[in-house]
Amino acid sequence: MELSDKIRGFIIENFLFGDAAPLTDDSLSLLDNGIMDSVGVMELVAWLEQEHGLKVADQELVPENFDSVARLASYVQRKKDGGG
Amino acid sequence: MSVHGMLEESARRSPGAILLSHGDQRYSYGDVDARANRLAALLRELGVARGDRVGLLADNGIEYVTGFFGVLKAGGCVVALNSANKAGTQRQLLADSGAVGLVTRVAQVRRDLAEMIDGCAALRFVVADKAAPNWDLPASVRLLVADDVATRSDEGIDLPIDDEDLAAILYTSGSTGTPRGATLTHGNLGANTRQILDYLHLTADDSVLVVLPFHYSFGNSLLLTHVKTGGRLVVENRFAFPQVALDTLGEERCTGFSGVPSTYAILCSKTDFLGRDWPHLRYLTQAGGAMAPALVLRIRDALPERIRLFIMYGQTEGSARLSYLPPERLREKLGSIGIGIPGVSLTVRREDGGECDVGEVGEIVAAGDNIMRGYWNDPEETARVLKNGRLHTGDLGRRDEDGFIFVVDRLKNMIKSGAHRVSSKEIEETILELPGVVEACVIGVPDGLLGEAIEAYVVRRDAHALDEQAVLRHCHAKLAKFKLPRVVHFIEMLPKNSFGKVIKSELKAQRTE
Repeated sequence: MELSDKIRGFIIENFLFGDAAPLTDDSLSLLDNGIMDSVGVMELVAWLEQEHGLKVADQELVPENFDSVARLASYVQRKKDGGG
Repeated sequence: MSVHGMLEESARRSPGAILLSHGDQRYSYGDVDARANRLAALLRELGVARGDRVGLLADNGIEYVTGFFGVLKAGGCVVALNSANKAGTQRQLLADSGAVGLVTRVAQVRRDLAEMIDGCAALRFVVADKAAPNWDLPASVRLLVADDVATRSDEGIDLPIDDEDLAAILYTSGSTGTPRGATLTHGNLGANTRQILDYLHLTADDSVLVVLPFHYSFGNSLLLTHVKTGGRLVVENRFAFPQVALDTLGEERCTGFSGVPSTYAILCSKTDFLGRDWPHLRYLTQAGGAMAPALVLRIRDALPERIRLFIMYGQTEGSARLSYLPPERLREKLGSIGIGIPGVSLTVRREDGGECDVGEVGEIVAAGDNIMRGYWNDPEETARVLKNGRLHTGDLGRRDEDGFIFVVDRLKNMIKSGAHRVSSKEIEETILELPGVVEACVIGVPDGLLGEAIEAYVVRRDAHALDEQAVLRHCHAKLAKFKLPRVVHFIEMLPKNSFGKVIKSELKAQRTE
């Protein structure tokens, strides 16, 4: 399964409870569209650390890395490739 | 003085001083006052009269501040709406308050405007920052946008407003599950603003980082205390990314920061808040529920003593603030909500109204000019909490020999999750709408970040009737995000007493076993 599929799946299951309709595309801002709130961000971090074995540094917790499926997928890929 | 009079006085004194910083934008007192005057002029043209309720639905920013003071200047009463609410709840609150209009932003209503105002008989107009093409509003509702406001006069309107005039209705969760509107007058909000300033000693040189919504009584008190002193509000709506918000605190050289327990829990666990040097920071305030003493001490021990830490307690029904723990007594009285703020009498009372002895547990009761007039359109609930002019908080407490009050429990089944007071009944009623559900019970359980997290216990017709996702999906469609249970437990039966009443304490005890 593609990384972005897994991330999309987590968001649909945990923030939208199975209703994929609001997540119209991968570049959609999760925060501005009310899909994810501050508690949601923390859940997402916990999932990334558990499922993908990443350590999310405090300074990486920024909208550029977390605010859309596309940004998340790119961030996780960079981490896996050993980059920041 | 009226609430908007505080803005007008600060604008006269220092028109060029900055009232609001938001990202790269800066808005001066003179600018905000003129914007509010223009909105007020338009609202008067639209027929807003003294005491008319006007809904305000906007995230923190210039539109909220302009909307708030504009409605007051027109003689109206602000009905502050939480943008996290679903459209159905907004409609319920607009209809309940009898709002004649709504001031809002496209970003907050999106496609749902028609649904939000459907059936709101009194509602005649919507003023938005701009129009969205897909709004299909009834012919009886006029839509106006920012351009319509901009052309109005920025001269102030001189209306007779006195202390008894309604200024705001702030909705809060009730024990019955239906939101109740705390009606606050100009006198109430003005009094609480002065009372807070009496112990916080803010000046025009102070600036606070605002991560709490203005529609919430704590956020509203930040707005009013800073406007009164001529200070600056630094709006930061990205607290979901706490490090980003923290960088703003430093970059904007804020002198103050205010949060609820979960704000501090997140800052301490997900940022370098405690490890950084804050040369400009003068004080921290915390309210909105009890913060764990261990966390209070962690913050106190890590930051220099010159940064004063105020632990406070309050209720929307008391405009916002009821008590504070003087920072110099913090370690000595750890776990206490402190004493009544200047101008507020805070006591612990028995059921018969008499004052409790030292150490005796009773209900915490407040009196002062900041106590609301009652709940909007709800004399029954009002009579339950307001007795002889005193506010019965529903919190149980005891006082020590020095008069410091400690909260020990809550009388009502309310859950305090994050900044929110959540009614378990409202969530239970929502779950019970599902056909496969026989019984439902919702409790708050201790949570490191939120104070309390919401968990649901559900008895279903049969195991195939529905699963956790189905329950959560239904709740998500009907309830604001902060009201969603974190977990749904399916059980055979709920623990009940001999009268058939669910014993929530037993569920909580079973959970920790």
